Amino acid sequence: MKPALTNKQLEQYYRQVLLPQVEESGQHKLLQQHVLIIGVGGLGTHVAQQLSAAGIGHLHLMDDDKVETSNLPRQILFGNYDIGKSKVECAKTALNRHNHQTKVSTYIQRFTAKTINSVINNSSLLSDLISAKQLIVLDCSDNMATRQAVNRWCVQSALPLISAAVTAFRGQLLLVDNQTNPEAGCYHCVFTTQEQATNCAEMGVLGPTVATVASMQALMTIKHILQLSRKDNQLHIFDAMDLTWRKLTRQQDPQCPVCQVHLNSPPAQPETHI
Amino acid sequence: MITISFNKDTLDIAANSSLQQALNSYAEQKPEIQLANIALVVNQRIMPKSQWPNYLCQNQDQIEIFSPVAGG
Ligand SMILES: [Zn+2]
Repeated sequence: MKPALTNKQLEQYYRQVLLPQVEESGQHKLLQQHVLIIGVGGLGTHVAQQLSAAGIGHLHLMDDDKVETSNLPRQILFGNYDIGKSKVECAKTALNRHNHQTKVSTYIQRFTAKTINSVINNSSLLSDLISAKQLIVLDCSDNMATRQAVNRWCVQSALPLISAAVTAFRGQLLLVDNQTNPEAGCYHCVFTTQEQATNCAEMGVLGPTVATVASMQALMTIKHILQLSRKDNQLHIFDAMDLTWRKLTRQQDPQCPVCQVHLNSPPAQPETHI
Repeated sequence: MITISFNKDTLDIAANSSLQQALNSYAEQKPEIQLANIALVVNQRIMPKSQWPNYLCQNQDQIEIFSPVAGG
């Protein structure tokens, strides 16, 4: 039988392959996987590094920001030499240096319902991946309006979403997968607000707090790819003051305008008259 | 009357009060709560906002208010 991995890959990912939950077949899955990271700031840079190092095949990075000096304490993928340059381009250069096996595609765009459509229209790869449901979406953005827009797009596109957020000493993390776990609902079933909640720019945050939440997001992503997670219907909440995680149970909002509308509108059937 | 807890506070409310009514009573005491920007947890379960008027509080319910974080 033809081995799934090359000798070089086996050597590189040996400690992962050693896990009975991963093995060669699991590593092969990671090497085939595409992940879209929306927002390449504190969370996005850490998640991208971890996923690339773990051998994720192809990362798609979307962000329109440039690197600023004030980013450096927590966005440790970037250095002084990156100031003023595109975040996604700097991230691509740094990721390629660490692991050239991971392909990186960049989209210098801020995510909105409109811009994601133009990005997809300009990328036959992305549009193929979405049709084939071979894309996992990570929300690493920094504001509520984007979070709601990402959630809506993922539910409409039937793509799994792993949404993480961090502000001050608090982090939140949840998996939305309406295909396999509709009972858990979506992001909007938990948070209905469209308003700007307090963000890092206003509240401040420590680098290790961001990195902790990002590591959990990366871990959840790998587990999702390897189908190791039981159905996750929790909202995971990190308290960086107490150094604790707690879980709250989520449930679908029977009146959710995002995931219920989508579920309850099957394709139109031709009317039959008896 | 029944007794419920809201975050660390206890609150006496009429039996058969809805979660929305309980929240309104609590918010009268705590004007700093931004009602537009919160989620409610009842006994470790997140209660979707559309259900706040429908859920009838039970004696000893533990209700928590929390707000989304959105930073990245
Ligand atoms: Zn929903």
